[in-house]
Amino acid sequence: MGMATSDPPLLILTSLASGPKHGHALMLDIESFSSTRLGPGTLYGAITRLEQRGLIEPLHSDDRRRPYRITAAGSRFLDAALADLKRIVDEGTARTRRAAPSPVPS
Amino acid sequence: MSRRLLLFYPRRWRERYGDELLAVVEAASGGGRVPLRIRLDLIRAGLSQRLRSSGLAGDEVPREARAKAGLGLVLWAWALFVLAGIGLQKTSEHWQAVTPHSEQAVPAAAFDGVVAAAVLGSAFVVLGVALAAGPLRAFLRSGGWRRARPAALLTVVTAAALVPVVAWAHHLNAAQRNGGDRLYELAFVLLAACAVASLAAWTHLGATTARRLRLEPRTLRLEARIAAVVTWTMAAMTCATVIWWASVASAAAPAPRMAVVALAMLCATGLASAGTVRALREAD
Repeated sequence: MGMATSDPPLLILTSLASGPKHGHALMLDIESFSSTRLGPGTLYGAITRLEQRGLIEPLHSDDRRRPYRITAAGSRFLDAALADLKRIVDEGTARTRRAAPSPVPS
Repeated sequence: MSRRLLLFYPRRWRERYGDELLAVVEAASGGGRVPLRIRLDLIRAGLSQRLRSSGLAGDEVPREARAKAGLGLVLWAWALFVLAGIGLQKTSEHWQAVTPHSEQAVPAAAFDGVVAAAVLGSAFVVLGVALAAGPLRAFLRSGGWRRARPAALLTVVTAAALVPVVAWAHHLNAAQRNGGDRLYELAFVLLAACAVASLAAWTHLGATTARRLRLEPRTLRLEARIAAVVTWTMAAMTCATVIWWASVASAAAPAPRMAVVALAMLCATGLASAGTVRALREAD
């Protein structure tokens, strides 16, 4: 599982961190906070892998729209992934500041 | 439309997630026609899921199953290569007659190279089957032989159809055999279809049986190395065929037919390479 901010598993875990959601609600939520429009096929490919790894689990539903929730293992995974991302963001920000253009010598 | 798109997914996956996915597709399409973007996404994701479920991609099935999936792909690639080889054999029947004698050295060497690599590749395929002979015997004794019935039936049908077609061919001249007699042409195409179906049935049987066999890790590693040798022979045959094609007179190797043969060989070699990489990586 990658670490890119457009990585579907990471986006799904982030979305489920605020509570259980079914497929279409996940798509809308992810688009609202990341501007990433996941296709239904991509979404369910990631849901399949996350469920197989025990990072999310399905909840009971009486209709076809089955909600999913993040598991404890999923929360730990998300925390670790976000911490990694934060380290990269902090390092990138620091390096960008250090590399700010110096005045041109006359 | 959406339900048909689900056919790109494996059956078990459809049973578990199909209805949920359809509900999302309908909601995302506003209940109307499914947009092209979503259709393409479903096709790509469905094929990707098939690769994952078969063990050819991802890590969702055990390592042994992934290695066997790679070996199965090499077997399918070999079957495709056999068909391309038959095409080459048919196309190259009279190349010496239409190529000047002084220009035959390079194509003759290339053609000999194809034949040598074909013999070597076939020997290694047989060796691969022989290595799994013990587990294969146990599998067949426990009732696995029943799975061979469709392939055996197709082979009997092909053999039964072959006899009258060959007898018929002996009563026709070369022009009639090569497109002059429409009825014979139809019979030949049907016979070829039966032969292809038989080959596909045996290959399917081989690949699915390999998945069920209990192979020792050492045997699996050896099989992966054998698959690598077979892939090398396919690459060698493809190169030698292209050299042969480039060095014979155009009358000896009609471009459209040879293009199909070369493309099939290239595809088969590419598939075998992918299968070998998978098998070597997962078996070690």
